[in-house]
Amino acid sequence: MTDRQQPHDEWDQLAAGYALHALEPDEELAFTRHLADCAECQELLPGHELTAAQLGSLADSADDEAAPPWSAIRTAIIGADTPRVVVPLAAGRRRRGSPRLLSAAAAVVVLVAAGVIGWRVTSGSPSASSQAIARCAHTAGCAIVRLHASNGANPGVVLVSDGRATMVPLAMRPPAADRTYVLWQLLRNGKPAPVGAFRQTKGDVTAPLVTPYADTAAFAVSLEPTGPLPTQPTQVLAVGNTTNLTR
Amino acid sequence: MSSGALEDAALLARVGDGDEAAIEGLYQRYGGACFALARRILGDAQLAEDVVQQVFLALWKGAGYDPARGAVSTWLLSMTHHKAVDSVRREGARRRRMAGEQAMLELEAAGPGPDEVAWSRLRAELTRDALRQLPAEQREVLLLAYYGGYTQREIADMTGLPLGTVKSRTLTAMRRLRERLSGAAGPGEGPGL
Repeated sequence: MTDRQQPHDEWDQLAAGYALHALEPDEELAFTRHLADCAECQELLPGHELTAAQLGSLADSADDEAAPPWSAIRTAIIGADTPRVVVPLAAGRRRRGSPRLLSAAAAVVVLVAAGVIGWRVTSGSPSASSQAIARCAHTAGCAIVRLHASNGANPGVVLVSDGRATMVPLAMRPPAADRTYVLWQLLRNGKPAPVGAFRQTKGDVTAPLVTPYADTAAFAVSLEPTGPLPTQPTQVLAVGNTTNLTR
Repeated sequence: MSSGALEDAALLARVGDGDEAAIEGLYQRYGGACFALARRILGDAQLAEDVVQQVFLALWKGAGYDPARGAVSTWLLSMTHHKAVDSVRREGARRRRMAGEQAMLELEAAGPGPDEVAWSRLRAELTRDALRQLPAEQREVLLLAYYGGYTQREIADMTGLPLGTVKSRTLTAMRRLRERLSGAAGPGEGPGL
């Protein structure tokens, strides 16, 4: 089976079978190889996996037998002699998660004051967004945090540098007139902190971080009613875990 | 995506730091769903517990979870399903359960509970309704694959259908389910993205 011989509909079928773990080993191998280079399948597969997981929810509502308590499986996972780790709020080092370098081009992004108070906004061409991300990837001390929706979509990226967060929308629709997007820092103690509100979905917007990046577990974007910044998100659209700073 | 996704993200970051309380927190959230799924496929509590251990061990070791592939809850259920199916295949046909539509559709509706539980039960109810709306032949191939642990080729042999028909029915069923469940994965999926 090769990409040239295979109409993409057949790959779609394999993607569905792959998400259900219902392929034969040779088909699974062929699909795995194809997946590495096929943007269409990479976009398609998370949707199939989400649907499969929803099938799994049927079992959850049906089964009367409780799961074993954590104490029953802890040793198999953590190990009997491993001391309990307590992570201070001033976060420790991440064990994994180096930032992905996105593309080679670098350019200076000119920021102009506009839009919602507290944000600085750039003009929003796709190439400007790519350049902003590429620039961060090649700048020491800059972190790239990809935001992911639960359907696998990648609506935007947060760039963090010099104590500021830059929201780079990649695939977001303008909000309704009475709604606004809010960027959040999720602290390592689980508390959300609103960085700022924005309505622009073309240009990049930047604002100061509420707390240091090292104390941040993730960024998130929520949709909120227009008005004062909320203290808790009400409708979370996408989340992205923090990555290491570029060295 | 529920607002719990934010808490999941924080817990995941702490798991990356080796924080035992964080992996325990994720287990408290999703261990029950994973165990129920594994047990449904395997029909054996001990085998299901083994599968759940493997899944959370993989998460603890940082093996395999890719945020680009969706929420951690989706990944945990996918991993559980994958390992449970592997296990049922190793155990051989005698352990395979004909987890057909009857078993799925006869599941009792759940009563009220805490928000998280209520949401997961609502999602299960929506999923069950969406399954009911599928043509029987599409539902059959889907459930034989997902809950029976059969490959599509095995399903073709069992049902006497051409393999291509099994594959096309499966894809159509997955697409229809996704359309009907587009709002059931969580309140945050649609608007604005």
